[in-house]
Amino acid sequence: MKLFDDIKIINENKYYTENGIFKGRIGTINSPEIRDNCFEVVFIDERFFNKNFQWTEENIETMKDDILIDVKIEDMEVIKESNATDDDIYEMLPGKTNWCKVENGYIINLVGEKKNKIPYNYNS
Amino acid sequence: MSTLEQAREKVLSLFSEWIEIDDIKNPWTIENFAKVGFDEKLIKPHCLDCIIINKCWFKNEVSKKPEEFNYLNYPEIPFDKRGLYHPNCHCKTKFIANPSPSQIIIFDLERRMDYLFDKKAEWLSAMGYNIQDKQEVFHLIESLSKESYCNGDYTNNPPSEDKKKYGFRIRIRLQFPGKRDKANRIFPITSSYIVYPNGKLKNNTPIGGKSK
Repeated sequence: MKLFDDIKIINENKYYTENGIFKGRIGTINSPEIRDNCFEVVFIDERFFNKNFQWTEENIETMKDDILIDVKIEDMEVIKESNATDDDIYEMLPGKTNWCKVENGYIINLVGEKKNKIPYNYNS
Repeated sequence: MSTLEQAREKVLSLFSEWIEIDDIKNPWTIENFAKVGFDEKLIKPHCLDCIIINKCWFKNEVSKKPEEFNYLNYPEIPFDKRGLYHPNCHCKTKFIANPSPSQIIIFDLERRMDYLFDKKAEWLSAMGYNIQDKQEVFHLIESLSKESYCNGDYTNNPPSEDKKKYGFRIRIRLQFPGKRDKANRIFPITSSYIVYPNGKLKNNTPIGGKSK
């Protein structure tokens, strides 16, 4: 789980729903860094994911505004990995030791250090 | 403030429509914490609300700058404690010369162009653009954003409590020209940014919605 990956919300809470984000909604990780065990995620108009929907000159102005919210790592799952490399992520971070990826249940940085002791328990 | 600076400030106050938020007692700006998060112990006694706007430029209009604290409901607060954004706030506003697009620095926009063309390609196609136009779209968003920001054509998008740590958000309105068979059309869209000190704007979403 990293920058620009597409994710799906698997657990919803009041904060998400108040912002119009419900379980099953697809978004894209918008921030390179992990803060408070969250990534910032951008949710674009759901019609972008509807294969049967066609954007035309007539409906272009009906596009809904993007929604940007913080999503906890345990509340989402990756559905499509981005091709962002470590170098791409590093360009947007101040250093290699900032937490920026999740692999095998661990929050890690670009030098491979792990933030949590127990896999999938991000507060450990 | 020297006499010369006072005179300059007085002249600018007559002609300028722009202000800079200035907290001379606070060494921190959003730039110090933008990508690592705020360290509450380090920033004490300064508050997050003021750090995210320190040294930032805004048009001097209500909906285009941070909201000032309303003391009408707090008459018990003595006048000498009434700061601009909260009681005991050290922030002041100072007039600055109206900025020009050449002074504005936009960053993080180019890195988001792949994402834009990956996710919103069809929408861009409805405006007459295709993947070959990525650089052109980038330069258009960049130049139109600078121009609109300097014209004050943006709306203040106040962050909720949890989003303050990312900075002060604005939505800049762009009159985006169509291309190819849509070349005769102008599309009103918005691009989202975080205001950084001294005329810098961090792009959040290249095209974040339609302009209202």
